[in-house]
Amino acid sequence: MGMGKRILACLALLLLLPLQAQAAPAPVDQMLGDVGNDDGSAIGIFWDWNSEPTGADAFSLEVRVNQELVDHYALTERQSQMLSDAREWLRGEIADLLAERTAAAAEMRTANDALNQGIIDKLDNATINQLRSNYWAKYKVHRRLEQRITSLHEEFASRTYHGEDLRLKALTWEYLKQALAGESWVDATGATPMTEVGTKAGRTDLFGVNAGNAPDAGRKFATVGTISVPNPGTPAADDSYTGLEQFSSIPVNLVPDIEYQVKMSTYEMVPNPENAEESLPELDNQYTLGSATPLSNAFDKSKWNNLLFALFFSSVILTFIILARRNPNMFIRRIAGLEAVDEAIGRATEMGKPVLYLCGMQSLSELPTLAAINILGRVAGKIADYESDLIVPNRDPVVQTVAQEVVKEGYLNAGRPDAYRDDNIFFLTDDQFSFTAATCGIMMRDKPAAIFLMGYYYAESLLLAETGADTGAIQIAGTDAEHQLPFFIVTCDYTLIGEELYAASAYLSREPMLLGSLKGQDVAKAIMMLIILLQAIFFIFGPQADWLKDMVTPL
Amino acid sequence: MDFVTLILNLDRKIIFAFVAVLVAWPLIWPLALPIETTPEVRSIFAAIEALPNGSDIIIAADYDPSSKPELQPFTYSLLAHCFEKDLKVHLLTLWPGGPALIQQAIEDVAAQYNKTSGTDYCFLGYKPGNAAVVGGLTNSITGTYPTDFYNKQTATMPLYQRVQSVKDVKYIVDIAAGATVEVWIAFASAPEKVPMSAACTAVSAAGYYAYYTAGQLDGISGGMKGSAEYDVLLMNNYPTVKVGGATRIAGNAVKGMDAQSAVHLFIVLSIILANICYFIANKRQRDERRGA
Amino acid sequence: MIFLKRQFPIIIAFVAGIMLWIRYYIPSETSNSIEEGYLNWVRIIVGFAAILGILSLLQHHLIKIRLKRPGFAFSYVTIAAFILMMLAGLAPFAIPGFAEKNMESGSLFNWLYEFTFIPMQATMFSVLAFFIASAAFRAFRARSMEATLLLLAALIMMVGRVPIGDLISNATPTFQLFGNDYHVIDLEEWTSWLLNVPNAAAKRGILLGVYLSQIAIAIRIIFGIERTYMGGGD
Repeated sequence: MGMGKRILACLALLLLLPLQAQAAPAPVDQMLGDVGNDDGSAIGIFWDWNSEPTGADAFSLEVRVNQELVDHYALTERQSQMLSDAREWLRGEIADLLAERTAAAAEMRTANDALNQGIIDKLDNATINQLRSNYWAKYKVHRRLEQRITSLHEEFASRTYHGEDLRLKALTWEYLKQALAGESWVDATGATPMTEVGTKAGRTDLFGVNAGNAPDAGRKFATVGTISVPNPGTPAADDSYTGLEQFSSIPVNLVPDIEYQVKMSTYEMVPNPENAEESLPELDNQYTLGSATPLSNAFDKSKWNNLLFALFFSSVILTFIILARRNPNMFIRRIAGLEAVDEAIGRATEMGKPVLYLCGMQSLSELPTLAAINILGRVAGKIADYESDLIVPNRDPVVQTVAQEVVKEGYLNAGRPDAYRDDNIFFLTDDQFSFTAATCGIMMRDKPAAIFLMGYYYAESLLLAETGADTGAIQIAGTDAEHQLPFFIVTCDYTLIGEELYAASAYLSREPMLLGSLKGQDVAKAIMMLIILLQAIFFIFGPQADWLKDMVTPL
Repeated sequence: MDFVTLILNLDRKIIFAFVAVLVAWPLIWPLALPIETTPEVRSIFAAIEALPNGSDIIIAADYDPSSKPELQPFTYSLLAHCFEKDLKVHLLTLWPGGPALIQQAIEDVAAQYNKTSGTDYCFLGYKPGNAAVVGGLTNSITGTYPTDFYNKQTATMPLYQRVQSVKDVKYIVDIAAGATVEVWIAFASAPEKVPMSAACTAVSAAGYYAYYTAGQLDGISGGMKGSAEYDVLLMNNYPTVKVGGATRIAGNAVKGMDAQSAVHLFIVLSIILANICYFIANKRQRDERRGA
Repeated sequence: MIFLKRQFPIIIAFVAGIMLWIRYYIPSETSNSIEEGYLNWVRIIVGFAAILGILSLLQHHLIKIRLKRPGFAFSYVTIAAFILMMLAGLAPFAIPGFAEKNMESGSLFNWLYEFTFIPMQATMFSVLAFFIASAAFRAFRARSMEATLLLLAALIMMVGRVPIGDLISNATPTFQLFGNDYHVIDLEEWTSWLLNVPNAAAKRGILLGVYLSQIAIAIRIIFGIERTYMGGGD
């Protein structure tokens, strides 16, 4: 090679170098597929860059709209009839109102300006008052019109709702149709810096906590589930009445079981000439990645260990319940708070004073409340035996109705249905502190001899328990609200801590099947303790045992 | 009755009177005690500080007037911090008593920073059903809140052209008077991998340390002390934040700390006193028994 | 009748419980809409129960007034407040002296809410501070080893969480250990140790037991072993 040629080659290289540096990395070895544990709307994409991206490189993913997707959003004949009927109705009702409102708004503004000018000009009070009342009159007219338009819009919204928002569905269909006609690719991610793209290792929610150790952990990974279909710029003229025409794009979830083509665009971020702090993406290249079909999965794979644990614990507990039926004499440790129930009720009888029982501050669908109701059933029977009064104020009307039923049954089983009084189990209010104030009032007036505070409590725990302590009542509390426990422990005579609340029903009834479930629970707890201990030992002495972590985190 | 028996059988109304005086005194004549910050609150501040300018943040203000003194100052300082950093704020509440307080806070702070609703922030309002709402937000924010607090369509707001669900925000802060922190961790932060912090009442703060040590919360601010620390951090790092004037944005919790110090000290001293008397009374009893 | 009262609710509990449990593992749209439908039903039922609750409240107070039970005068207050609030919320016109009707801002309802309800609520919450003081005074006695430990922890926490604690810590001399400076008394460090180590450990232990119990009680209810909550007794 001659000297001249070498110089030329060097020059060419020098010229090429900056070009090469400018080109953004391209995706290679891409792999597309379904995402295992979603509702069937996402495609997962693996790929690598062919060179190291810089901070100025960005990329985006696009999906091609196809006929099946458009068809999915097509309105049925009945739906489009409903929609056009509603539009017709709205247009008839609203047209005059809109014009009136515009006029009223102008009048209001004029009146306001006049008032402001009056104040600036320091006119006398009478004139200003006149101007002010004039402005208020105009303001009210405008406001009334606004309210009527709002209520018309609401009526329209309810007329066009049929299992889903038909207006939105129609718009989505319109946008998608336009996108399909233009054969355009629809953006799914927006321009994202390449340095920020996730890897397989970062998605432990999809690939398990071991993903970081997998040989392909560094592979780039992204999901495409929602595409932003842009407004084709042809909003229906009459939509201005409904306030829906301003969408610049509509997010659309991909529909399962349809094959989608996916494309990647790479960009270079260049400074925005208008705003120095911002930079704009400049298209560099486009790559067709391939196609994939998101599947609607029948089972969320990330939850299989959860299912296994649930089945295992359930079967342990059920096994012990069955065992308990065969061998009813199971040992259960003494719980002082529950031993004291008889003492407390007996004392109430001696003093001729009532027993107050609270089921906590939560609704019936919460487990602490159910546990409290279960204990109430057991306690009510004993109270009926001892012939004391039982007062149960409630914060939730559903809990109140159930409590009435439970107490009535308790009295009936004790053979004292005549002693049951419906109005002793009543609803107070569902506001936290109003309820607390009212209950404290009952404590101070009726001076109950025994107070039971069962269920879940918030900040009112100490207010209730301290007032109760002040009245001199025997107090038995039981809660799994661990941050209220200290308050109950210092102010109550006995406190059921956490799981004791749930064990109470079994303990008081001594029913073998319920006691059996407590045994099962203990076994399950022993297994948990073993797992924690093993993990701790591995952590201190050995290499990380990931399979242990895998067992208890979402895969 | 001698002093020891008097103390041991003290009527609680006398204690109440002392507490009342000790709360009122420093509020009227402040002592201006210095406030040192704890790592738990510093890490919240640092996490917000580390967010890139312009990123989105969800602030859930789940409290009502009863915890206003403890948590409202935090809301003010946090909002001011977000707007200083030009973050886009998505505000909402899971408590029915919350909207009035939050409206006041966001309108005060937004006015100070010239921020507009729909572009720089959105106050989504109240929606019942804790976990259901938070779960809904992970699917779609505009689907869960079709309109904001002011009855404006959310889907048309510039803010929601970029942000669809919790996945798209960079940070979550729950300012909670009740048990909503667990809900946010379990239904939003953990599954969507969005880091979060919590500011809660002093009573419940102790309960959340398990989440803090496990790394599920970046930081915890407990009660008025936490709010005061955040105030101090904000004022030290952003000296321009409005402290005086018509609406104070920062420094609202700092005022309360003197009163809290005084009452804590009183309780500590009275416990010590009560214990000394208890020991003396015990000793007397033992002596009597021995004498008998 | 016995079937409706005994077996039927158990069947409902079983079917609904199992269905929603299985639903948790299925990520499809149908399964989401099943859960949504269930939540809607809950809301509807709670709505009707609210009416029952109001009736129960009124009945309770009317009986109290009729029988002139102790404190029956307060029942008049309750009923009057109830009627006033209801009228303010439902009246189709603005109450004289107020700009707006119903629950809009500027209405009587709103005024009552803001200037009576909220202050009363805040008052109730503030009482907590006084109650904590008196409860602490009475309860924190060094009766035993455990009680003394509790007492010490409480003292450190209370002082360590306020500015005075910082003043005390900073006033104490420092010493060197492994090249780091430490205060002889460092309340901030001690409080965060108390919160992060013993407190967090105890909480985890309690929670683990609670969650297992919740699983067990859920299983007992789903399989109809625990029926007390239906008023069914045993």
